Amino acid sequence: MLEISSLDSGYGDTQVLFSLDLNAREGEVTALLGRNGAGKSTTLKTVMGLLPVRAGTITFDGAPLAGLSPHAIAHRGIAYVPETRDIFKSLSVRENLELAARISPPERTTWTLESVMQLFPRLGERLDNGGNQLSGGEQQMLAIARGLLMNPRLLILDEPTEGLAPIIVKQIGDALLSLKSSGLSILLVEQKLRFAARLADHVTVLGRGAAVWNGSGDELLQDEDTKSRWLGV
Amino acid sequence: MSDTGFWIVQTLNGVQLSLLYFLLSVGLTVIFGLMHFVNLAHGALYALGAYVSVTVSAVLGYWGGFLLAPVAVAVVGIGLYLLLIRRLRHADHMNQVLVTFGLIFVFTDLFRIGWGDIDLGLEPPTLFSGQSTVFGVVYPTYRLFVIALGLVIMAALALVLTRTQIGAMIRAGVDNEDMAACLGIDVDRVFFGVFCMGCALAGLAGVVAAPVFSVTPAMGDSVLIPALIVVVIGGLGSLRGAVVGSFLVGFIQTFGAVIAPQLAAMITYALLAAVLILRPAGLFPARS
Repeated sequence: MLEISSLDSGYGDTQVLFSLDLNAREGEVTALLGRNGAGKSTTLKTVMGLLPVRAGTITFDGAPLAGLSPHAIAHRGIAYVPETRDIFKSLSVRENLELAARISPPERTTWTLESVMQLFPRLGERLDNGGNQLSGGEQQMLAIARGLLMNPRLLILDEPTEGLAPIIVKQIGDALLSLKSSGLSILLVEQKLRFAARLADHVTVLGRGAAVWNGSGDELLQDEDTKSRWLGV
Repeated sequence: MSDTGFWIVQTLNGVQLSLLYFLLSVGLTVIFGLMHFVNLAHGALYALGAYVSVTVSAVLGYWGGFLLAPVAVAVVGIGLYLLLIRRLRHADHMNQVLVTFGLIFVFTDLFRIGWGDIDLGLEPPTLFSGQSTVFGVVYPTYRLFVIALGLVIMAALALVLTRTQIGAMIRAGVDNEDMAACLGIDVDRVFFGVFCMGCALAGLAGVVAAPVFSVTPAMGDSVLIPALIVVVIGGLGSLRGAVVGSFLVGFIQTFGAVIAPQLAAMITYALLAAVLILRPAGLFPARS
């Protein structure tokens, strides 16, 4: 579904990705793991058009994404939940959600205001609150709900559990498991190895801006060499 | 005139000046906030509105100018956008300031060439000529019309920004441009719409100001600085900030001029300095 090949990208004078290859298959959860600075977030930002492709290709359902603006990429059916969550603080929770629902294609109706509130009941109680009045966990729920309301074909999540209390991490994990069982294609960037391995059908480990290992979550959990060398575990 | 009457008249003058500043600064602030774009030519567009209204109303009467001048200024704004501003959108602020500062000179000279270097005037419409009695004082009816119009536009903008999806898209773009784009919002298109609207409002401010102040090539310069101060005091991109900032600057200038004329200009700058030191993002920052 999403195919990245020989991708170079980075910020300003700093190149971060060096000939990266990565595939996210339809209906699967693909996890992208790696240490800080390995290039995980850079990969996602380049897919979304927030950073330019310097070399290589990114295709989504066979169509190239390079050169498209982020809003055009969103319209292709990719929803992005950034590490910083980026809730619009001057908008209410409801307005945040309604903006995302705006571009949901008419033939895809899985996610509605009601169904995301079933997934995250906390949001239902907070609909009329401002985006600036949410806790970290609620912000993360809203960021994921916002992505779902676009009824995307691919949901991209950047460290959805970072900085959250264990009980919230569990709630988010349960929600992601139910998304996985619904058949939604997900590209997940994570630091928490066990969390990612439990969810992922396929894991790609990133090291110094390139893919250094591919396999299943279970295989990775047993591969002590890869874990210690590339993940510091 | 009684003492109370004097203060009522000054208050009405203050409200009128504040609303004029509001019409000018609201476009500036949203353009600033949404695209971090500094448009110093905004004052020149205000003057253009006044000049177009002088010419059009000579043929079609005041209301002809009232309707056509904002449209004409918006059309000029579209031209500026396509020729210059679109290219400057990602340039640094110094380049934006230099180009739009240069535009002020271009416009000022075009006004001199087109309309001459003399003060022109515009008669208020017959409907609002003469005087009315409000709160026990006699006050020019036209100025009451300016106040009413400013309030109506303020309310309309507040409704659009807070109650419509276009308004939510604008606020989202001001808050976080990249995230707004990732939700499928074409931020450039939103900016273009806001820019045109801001130009039209500057043109409208020029029309309604023409019968109150004289129309001169440099009339834009005298309002540009107060409008920029309003934007900085209120907070970039904030409608509420533009409202509060306009009233602060409008009242300080009006009352300053009658209470302490020597200090009036200084008080405005002192307020600006105080806000920059105590709340650098402005009184009502729109960005989180």
